[in-house]
Amino acid sequence: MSSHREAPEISKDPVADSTDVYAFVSPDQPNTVTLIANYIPLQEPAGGPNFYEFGDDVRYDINIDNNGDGKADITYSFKFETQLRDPDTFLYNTGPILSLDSKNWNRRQFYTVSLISGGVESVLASKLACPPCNIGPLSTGNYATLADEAVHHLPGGTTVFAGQRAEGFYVDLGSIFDLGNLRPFENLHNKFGMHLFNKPEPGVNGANRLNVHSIAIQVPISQVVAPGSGGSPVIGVWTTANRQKVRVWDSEAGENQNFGPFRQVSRLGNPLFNEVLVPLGKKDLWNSLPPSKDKKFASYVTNPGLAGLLNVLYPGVFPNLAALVASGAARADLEAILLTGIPAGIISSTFTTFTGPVLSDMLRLNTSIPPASSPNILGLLGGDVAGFPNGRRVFDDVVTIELRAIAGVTYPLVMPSYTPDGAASLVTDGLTPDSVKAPYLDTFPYLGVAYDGFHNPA
Amino acid sequence: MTGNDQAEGRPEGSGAPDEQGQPRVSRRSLLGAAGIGAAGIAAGAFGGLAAAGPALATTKREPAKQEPARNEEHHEAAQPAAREPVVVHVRDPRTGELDVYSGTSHTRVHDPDLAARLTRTIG
Repeated sequence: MSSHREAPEISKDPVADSTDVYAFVSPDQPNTVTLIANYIPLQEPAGGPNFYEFGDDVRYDINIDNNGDGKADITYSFKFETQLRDPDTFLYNTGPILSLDSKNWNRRQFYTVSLISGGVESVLASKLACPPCNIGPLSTGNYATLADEAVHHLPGGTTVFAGQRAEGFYVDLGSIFDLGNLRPFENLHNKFGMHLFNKPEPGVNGANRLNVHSIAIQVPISQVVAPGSGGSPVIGVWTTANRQKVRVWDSEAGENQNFGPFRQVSRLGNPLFNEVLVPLGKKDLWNSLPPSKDKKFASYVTNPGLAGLLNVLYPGVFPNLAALVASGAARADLEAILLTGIPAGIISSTFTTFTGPVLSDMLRLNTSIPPASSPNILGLLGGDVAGFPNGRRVFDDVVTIELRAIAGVTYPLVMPSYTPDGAASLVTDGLTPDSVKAPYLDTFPYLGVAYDGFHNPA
Repeated sequence: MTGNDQAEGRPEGSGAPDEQGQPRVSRRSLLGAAGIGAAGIAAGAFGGLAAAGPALATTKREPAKQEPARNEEHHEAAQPAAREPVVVHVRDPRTGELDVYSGTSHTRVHDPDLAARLTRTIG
C-alpha cells in the first residue's frame, strides 16, 4: 500500500497511521492547492457498531516546507473531539441521520484546525463537524449530501473537510506482497520452482470498496509558497500524526489517560517511500523523524532493494537493470525524484520540482504549473507535468510510476547512455482508476463518496 | 506566510524552556503535585514524596535531550504547580534517571535517592 500499515509499530495504531498524501493545484480552483492526508487504513464499510473515527488523542498535521530545508514553514494542525449524546444506548444512531445536527446521531465528531506559521499558532476554526460514517440506506440514505455539509468554507479562502471517504488509492496488494507476483507478469515470475501461473492476468485492486478517513484542506497558493518575488513556487508537503508520550489505561475510568508532549509517530510524503524503500528495522524510526533527517535513509533510495529483487523474481526480464544494480551505481534519478526534486533542465528548461540540496522525502509540488486539461495517470512518465511526481493527484497511478522508475525507466534522465529494459516501461500491477468503484469527484475534496456498509462488501 | 522554519512545526511557548529548548516541570511544581495528592499513577508514586523533601533538595534536573520545544509543552509547566495528574517513569533505578510527565509537559530528573524510594514502593 502507499503507506497503509507500512511499519510494525504504526500498523498497530490505525487512527494514527497515515495512508496517502495528495497535493495538487486544484483543477477547478487553479489559484489554490489542495492537500489531503488520509488515515485509518483498510476500513470495511460495515464497521459497526463502533464506526471509524479520528483519534481524539492524536494531533494530525499537514506540513509545508517552502524554503527547501525539509522543515515545516507552515503547518495545518487538526485536533478532534468526540461527543456522545446518549451513553445509555449501544447504537451509533437511533434513526436516520438526515443532517449533521441530527438528534438521531449519537456519536459525533468535531475538530479544530489551526495554522502554525512564523512561530505563531492561530486557530482558523473550531467546532467544525465531521460527517458520520456511511452506514447504509436507512441510516445515511443521502450520504453525499451529508458529506457535502461537512465541507466548511473558512475566512481567507480556505476550505476544509475531515471525515470518511472512499479509498482512492489502487494497488494489487495481494499480488505484490505474495513475493512480488505482479499478475500481468506472473507467467514470467520465477515462481520459486512451483508450476503455477501460465498466463498473464489482470490486476485485482486490494483497496477497492474500502474507506479511509481524509483530512483535506484547500488554500490559496499565495498562502503556502515562499513570500516575495524571489520565492520558489515549489512546496514540499508531508503529513504527520503525533501522540503524547505516555498512555496509561485508567481502569477505574475505563479509558486511556495521556501525558507528556506530543511526539511524531507517523509520517508520509511520497507514496511508498517508507513502505518499499526503508528497511523493516528502521520504518518506525523513519516515522518519528522530520524530512530534514532523511539523509540517513538516502542509501535506501539510491540503491533500492527492490531494483535488485526485480531481476531475481523475473529472471532475464531486466538484464540492463541487473547490470546497473551490479555496478553499484547510485540511482541519482530516484534521489532527484524523491529526495531533492527534479532540477530545471532535466525534463525541460522550465520544469522543476527542485527544492535544494537537502535530502528530504517530501511530496513536491510546483504550484506554478497549471492543472492538466487531459491528465495522464502516469504523470510525468506519461508526459503530464501536472502529475506525480509533481505533487500527486487522487487518480495518479503511483504504483506503476514508482515500479517503472525503480525498474530503470527514469535512469536515462541522469545517465543518457543507459538503455532501460523493455519491461521497465511496461511493468505494472495492472490497475487503473477504473479499478476504483467509487468515482473521483471533480470538486473538493475530490476523493469519492464513502462506500456504505449495507452494500459493501458486495 | 513566511519562510521561517518552525521547531518541529510548533512555535515557542511562553514558558521557561531550558537551554535545550525543553520546558521544565519545576521542582516547585513537582513538589506541589505531590502535595495535592496527584491522581492515578502519580498518587502512588508521589504519595511517598511527602517524605522525600530532603532528597528533592538535592535533585538535579537535566534536560530531556532531543525533545524540541512545542507550545503545548509549556503552558502546563507554568508556575506555580501542575494541578493535574503526574506520571513518573523511573528510567533506570541504578542511575536515578526519572522522566516526569504532567499535562503536555515532560522533564528529566536525576535523583538516585528518589528513584530508589519510588522503586521500593512497588516492592
